[in-house]
Amino acid sequence: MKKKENEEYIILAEKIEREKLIDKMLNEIFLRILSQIRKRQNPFLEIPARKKEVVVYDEEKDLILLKKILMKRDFFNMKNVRKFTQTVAVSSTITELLRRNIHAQLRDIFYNRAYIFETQNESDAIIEDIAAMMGVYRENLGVIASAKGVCVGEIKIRDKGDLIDCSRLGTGGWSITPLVDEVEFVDYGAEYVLVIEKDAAFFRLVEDKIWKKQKCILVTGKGQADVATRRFVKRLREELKLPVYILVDSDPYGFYIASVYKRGSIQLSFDTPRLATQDAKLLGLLPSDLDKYKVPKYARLKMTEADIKRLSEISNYPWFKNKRYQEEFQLMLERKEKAEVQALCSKNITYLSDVYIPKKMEERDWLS
Amino acid sequence: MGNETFKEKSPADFFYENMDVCGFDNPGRALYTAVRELVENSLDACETAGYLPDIKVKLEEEEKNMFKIVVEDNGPGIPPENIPESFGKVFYSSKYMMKQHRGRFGMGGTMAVMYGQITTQKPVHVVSITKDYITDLKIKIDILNNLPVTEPRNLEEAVELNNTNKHGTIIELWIEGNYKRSRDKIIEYIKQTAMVAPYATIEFIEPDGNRIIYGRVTKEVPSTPKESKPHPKGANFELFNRLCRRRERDKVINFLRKEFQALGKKTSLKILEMAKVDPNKRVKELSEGEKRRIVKGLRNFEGIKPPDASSLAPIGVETFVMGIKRVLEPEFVTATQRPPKAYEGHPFIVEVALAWGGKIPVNEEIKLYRFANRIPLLYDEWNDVSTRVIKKINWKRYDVKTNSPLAVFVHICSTSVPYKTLGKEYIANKPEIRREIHLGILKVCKELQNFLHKKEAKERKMKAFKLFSKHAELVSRFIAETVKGVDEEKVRREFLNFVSEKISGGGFT
Ligand SMILES: Nc1ncnc2c1ncn2[C@@H]1O[C@H](COP(=O)(O)OP(=O)(O)OP(=O)(O)O)[C@@H](O)[C@H]1O
Ligand SMILES: [Mg+2]
Repeated sequence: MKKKENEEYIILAEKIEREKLIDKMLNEIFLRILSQIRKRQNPFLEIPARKKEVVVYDEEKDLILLKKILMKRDFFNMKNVRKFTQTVAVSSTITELLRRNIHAQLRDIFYNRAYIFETQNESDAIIEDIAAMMGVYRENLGVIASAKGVCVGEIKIRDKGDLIDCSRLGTGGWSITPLVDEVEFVDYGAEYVLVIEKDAAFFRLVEDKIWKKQKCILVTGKGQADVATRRFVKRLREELKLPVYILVDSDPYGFYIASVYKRGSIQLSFDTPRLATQDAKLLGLLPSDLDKYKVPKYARLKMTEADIKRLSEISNYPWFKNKRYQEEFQLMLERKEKAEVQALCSKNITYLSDVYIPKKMEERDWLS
Repeated sequence: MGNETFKEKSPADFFYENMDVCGFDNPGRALYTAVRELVENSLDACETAGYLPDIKVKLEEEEKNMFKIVVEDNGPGIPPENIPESFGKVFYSSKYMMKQHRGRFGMGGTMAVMYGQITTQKPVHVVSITKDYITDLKIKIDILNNLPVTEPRNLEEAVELNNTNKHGTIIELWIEGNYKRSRDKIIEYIKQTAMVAPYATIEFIEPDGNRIIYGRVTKEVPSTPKESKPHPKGANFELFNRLCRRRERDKVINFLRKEFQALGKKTSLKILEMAKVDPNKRVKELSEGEKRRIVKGLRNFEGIKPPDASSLAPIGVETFVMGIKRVLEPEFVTATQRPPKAYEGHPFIVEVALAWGGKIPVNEEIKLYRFANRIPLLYDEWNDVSTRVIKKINWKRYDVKTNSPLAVFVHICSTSVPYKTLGKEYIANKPEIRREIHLGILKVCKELQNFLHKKEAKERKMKAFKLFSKHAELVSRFIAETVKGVDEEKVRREFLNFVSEKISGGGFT
C-alpha cells in the first residue's frame, strides 16, 4: 500500500513519563469504562488496527508505517466481550507494573491472567493492542520479550550499574538484555558491527577472535531476530555510528532475516522506526559468492519447491527492488542452489575469518 | 373347452389360503395382527355407542409359543343373535356403509379367530354383555362353508338376562405366536393407539406380567359420524352406475338430488344442462354417453359445497395434541386439520401434527407416525403416501436441522381409506390425499419454525445474559483493583443492572 497525503499514520512517542502513562491508562481505559457504565452507554475501547492491510511502505523515508484506523471493541458483543475483558485485565496488570516500576515478561502477563486466556498468543496480542492504544512501545509499559541475542567484541556496556566488557566474556559472550534501552554504551574500540544469522557461524568467528583482528562487534540473533537484538543493533548504528554488516545463509530465509534487520517485519510494523537498521549492508553469503569463493559442489544444497516460492515472494519486497539484489535472486533461481555460511569452511575450518570476511570487507563487496 | 370343473370357493376358504394378505403370514406378525384387530373392534364398538373406552389387553403364554389373548372392553356388547356370524363368518360386518370406522372389510376379527383355530384347534371364547343379555359362547369356523359352529350349539343355552348395568365384550382367543418377534410392534401399536385416542384408557399386560397403562387424559370423544351420500366431486362411472341401478325409474334430476350430497335443484339442473341431458329423462333411459357427460359434469362443476364431513370422525386438533402429549411429552406440539376433501366419491380429512423434543429421539430421519381412521399403521412405511410427501419437504427452509428430535403425525380419516393391502398397513398415493398431506405439513412446519425461532432467541438471550454477567463481574473487579477509591460491589451492581437492561432490550450483538 502507498502512503497518501490526507491519511493519518501512527507515530509512536519515544517515551512517555511513567506518571503520565499511568494517568493515561486510568483515564482512557478504567475511568472511561466507569463513566460509560454510569451513563448507560455501551462500553467500548478503540484500538488501532495492526493488520496487514493497514501497513504502509513510506518510500520517502524508506520505512514501514501503520495507517491509523481505530477498531471498536464493544463490551455488548458476544464475540468481542472476551477480548474486551482481556484488555481491561491486562491493562490492570500493566498499571500495576507501572506503579511499582518493575518489568514483566510477556509470559508473566499470560500467567498473571491465565484464567481468561487460552494461549499466550492471545495475551501477547492484547499487550500490543494496549501499547498501540497508549501510543508507546511495549517496553514502556513494563512488558518485555525474552531475548536470545548474544554479543561479543570491543565494547563496554553498563547494565543496571554493572560494567560489562564484551571482549572478556570468553566464548559465551554477553546475553543481550530484554531491557536493551536501559543499557549504556561506555566505551568501544570496534569499527563496525557484524550481525550473524546463526549461532554456529557466530561461534566459529568468536573462537577465531575475528573481532580482535578486524576490530568489530559480533552479534547474533540465533535465527529470526527478536526485538531486543534488533533494537541493540539499531542503537549501535544510531548512537555509535558504526556501520552494520549482515552475514546470513545463501537461501531465501537468509534474505528474509536480513530484511527483518533492515526493514522490520509486518507483524511488528508499528515498531519499525525503532527497530529497523535501514542502511545495514548484506555482506554475504551471496549466491554469486558460491563460485567466487569456490564453494565445492558437495557443500551446496538443492533448493526445494518451498524455497523457490519463498524466493519469488521476497524478490517482490519493495526494498529489494534494486539491480544488485535482483541479480543475486536471478542467479539463485537459475542455479536452484543454496548454501550455509559454514559451507565456506569445507576446505579450511578458519576460511571464514581468515579469508572470506577480510576479503569481502577489503573489496567492499556487499549489497546496500 | 367345456371340460373344466367349476367349483365355488367360500370366502373363508379363500382367505384360509391367502392369510398373508391380511397380516397373518407368520407367528410373529400374527400375534400382533390379532391383538390389533381385536383392539380396533373394541374401540369401534365403544365409540359408536358413545362410551368412553376402557380397554384391557392381556397376553398369556400358556405353552411355548401358544398364547391366550384376552381383550376386554366396556362397549355395548354384541346382540346374541349376531355373535356367531360376527366371529364365525368372513365378510360379516355392521360397518358396511358410508361412514367412518376402523373396521371396513368384515373380516379382521374373524381372521384372528380363524388363525387361532388353525394353529391351536381351539374355539374363540366370547362373553358379550349388552343392555339386556349376557352371552357366553364358544365359536369355531366351518372354513369350507364360511359358517360359524357354536358351543353350545343352541344359542338360547348361552344367553341369560342382564340384571346389572354393566356392558362390554370379552374375547378370549388361543393362537400360535412368537412374542419375541412381535413384542416391539405390539407395544408400539398400543402406544400409538394411545396417541390418537387420549379419551381411552388402554391397558396392556405382557406375558411376563409387565403392565403398560395409558390413562385417559380427556373425556372428549370425537363426535360419532353419520352415514352419508357420495359427493359429486368424487363421482366416477362405476359408482354412478351402481347408484343408477338403485333408482332406475326416477327422473335424472331427482336421482341426482337424492343420491348425491350437496346437490340442490338449481345445481343439478345446471349440471344436466351442461351435460345436455333432459332433466326429466328416466335413469334407466340414460345412454352411456349421457352418463359419462353427467359424471364429467359432477366432477368438474365449480361451486359445489365441499363434501359433507359429518360422516367422518377426525381426531380433532386439541385431542390429537393431547394424545401426543400424553405419550411423548414433547417440548412443542402443534396440529392442524385440513378441510374435508374427496377422492373417488369418498370424503376424507387429513390431520397433521408435529412435535419437537421431549421423549422424541434425535434421529437422522424424521420420525413419522401414520394413522388411518385412528388406526396406527406400522408396516410398509416406505410405500406410504405420507413418507413420499415428507421426503419432498425442504426441511432446511424451516430451519430444521438434521438430527432433530422431530416427529410428524399424519392422520387420514375417510369413509373409505385407500389401503394398498387388506392388512391395512399403508395408504395409496392418491393425488388428492397427497396434496392435503403436503399442505398440512407445510402449515405445521411454519409453526415449528416460529417455535424454533423463539426458542433460539430465548436461548441466545440466556446465553448472552450469562456471558455478559460473567464479564461484567470481571471488568468490575479489574476496575476496582486498579482505580483507587472505587467500591467493587457498587460498580458490580451497577454494571449487572446495565446488563439486565441490555438483555431485555435486546441491545446487544
Ligand atoms: N368388541 C366388540 N364389541 C361390539 N361388536 C363387535 C366387537 N367385536 C366385533 N364386533 C362386531 O363384529 C363385526 C365383525 O368384526 P370384524 O372385525 O370381523 O369386521 P369389521 O371390524 O367390521 O371389519 P374389519 O375386517 O375391517 O375388521 C363387527 O362389524 C362388529 O359389529
Ligand atoms: Mg374389525
